[in-house]
Amino acid sequence: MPRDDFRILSFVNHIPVHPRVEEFLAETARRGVDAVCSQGTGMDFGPYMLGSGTQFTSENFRENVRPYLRFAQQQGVPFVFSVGIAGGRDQLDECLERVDEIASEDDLPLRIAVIDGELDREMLSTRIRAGAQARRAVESPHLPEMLTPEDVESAEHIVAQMGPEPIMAALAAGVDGVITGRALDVGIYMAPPLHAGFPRGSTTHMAKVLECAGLALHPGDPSEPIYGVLERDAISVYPVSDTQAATARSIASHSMYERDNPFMEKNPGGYLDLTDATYTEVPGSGVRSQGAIWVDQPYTIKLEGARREGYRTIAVFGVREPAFIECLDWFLDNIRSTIAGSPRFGHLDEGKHYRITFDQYGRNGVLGPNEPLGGRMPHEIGLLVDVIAETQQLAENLAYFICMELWIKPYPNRQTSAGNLATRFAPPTINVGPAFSFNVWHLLEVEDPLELFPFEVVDFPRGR
Amino acid sequence: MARLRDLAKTLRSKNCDPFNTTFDVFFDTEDAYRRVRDSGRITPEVLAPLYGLTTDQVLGIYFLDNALAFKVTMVKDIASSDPACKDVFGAHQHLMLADLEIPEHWT
Repeated sequence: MPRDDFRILSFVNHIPVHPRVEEFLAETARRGVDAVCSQGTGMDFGPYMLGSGTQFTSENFRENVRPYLRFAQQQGVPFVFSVGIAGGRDQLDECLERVDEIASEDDLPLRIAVIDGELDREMLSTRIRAGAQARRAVESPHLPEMLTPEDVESAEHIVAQMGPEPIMAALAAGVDGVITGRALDVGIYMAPPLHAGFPRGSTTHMAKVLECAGLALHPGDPSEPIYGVLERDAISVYPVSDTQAATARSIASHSMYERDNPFMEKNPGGYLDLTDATYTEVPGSGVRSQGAIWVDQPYTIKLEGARREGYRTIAVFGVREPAFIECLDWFLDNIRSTIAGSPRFGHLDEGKHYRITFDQYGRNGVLGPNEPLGGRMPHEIGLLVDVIAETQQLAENLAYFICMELWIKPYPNRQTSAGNLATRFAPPTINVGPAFSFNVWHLLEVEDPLELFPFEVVDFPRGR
Repeated sequence: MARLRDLAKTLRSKNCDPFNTTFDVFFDTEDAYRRVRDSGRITPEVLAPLYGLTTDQVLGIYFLDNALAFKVTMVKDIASSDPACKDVFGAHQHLMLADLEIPEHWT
């Protein structure tokens, strides 16, 4: 007997859990729920976490998911979580450790299908050598048009956004839930209803609206969950708290959030055409939408990879003396040329062996050369010295040299001969570690959506 | 004249990928929306110089009459991929657009 509707509770698992979560879960239980879904991967934070294998504190992750895991188990419905921000193997493993702690501490046995989101680089370069095509996902001069084996090998880590299909295959294995590394955000929300036989158009649209939880509501707050009811040809979304409402405006605007084209939601295997979508407010602070159309295209998997560009050392200063602010640009240019002409660093090329960035917060630190008010003389500047060099040692030595110049070197009309600026930290140089860029941002053509993403069933707590 | 920030209800910027920024602007009234839409100011020729871009780096401008909104997508001058990026999320790129002067209705 086919189902008439499918109900999903959505939250974001890297955002601190809401203090009223138990109230929200009781309200959800009253309404009924078929799956609990949560995204926890994304590249909004830049390439660092992917390159370095790090994430936000995983203790935070553990406390964020704990009430939702318990809730899904109590309700007897599956959960699907993507975890670990960049979602590589290291981050996934660390999150699974935290899930293991929940399972032990709360006496919550869980059978979970785990799907790795990181690709083995050798496997990928072998595929490319054998003729697999991966074209850049955006037309940027910073990316090679077609991915080469050399690009793959120079990346520290490469993850791939699995679509809903590998998750559906895992759900079919009779597990309590699925935990993935890097995954397509909307795929997390698509998998349970697609698995239950719902059509791709309305399913994808509901997934897009649910993926950032309460951010799609008014006022937008992604720490609150959101509740969606999927029908065969319509979606309805509701808050679970009394402080938010779905409005036609909030849901329509979220449908185009962080997408380059407001009418086209691109996904593996096709896109969602939102041109004719309508949004109507319904009782219960909800919004009902119809009219989204799924259009099939060749199936591609989005790859993301980060390459190490060097090592970073920073320093932070405050500049308040008007005479120094007056000549600061000139002074900073002088530091660059002093370094370039110094016996110690003169054999190195700026741009090749090292890179120095001075950000002047209070003048144009946010907008750089585009700052419309950049010509005004501020009363105070926060100066960030950012050095990236081939080795951590070189970055630290350059930063130390710059700090000394900033402290002691004379400038025109100086009265403050005991020191040029205010020092925030001692020692002034802070080694930050490696710095990365995205060198892989490509779409890999695949025959089968499942082929890169096998699942493994694990019983938690482990080792019993 | 009024600035776009005085006419809009919501005015936001965010990465749509590490190399591009997308801007969403929403209005409360049909009147404010049409004033902006028909001002001739939301064009690549006007916007590109504010962001230090060439006109072909303004990748798309979309007006959504039903939603009283428009969207602009542009190349990010310092990509979030760049370790020296000053705005990794792209959440503070809206400012030049927000201060854009919009003339009175053409009547």
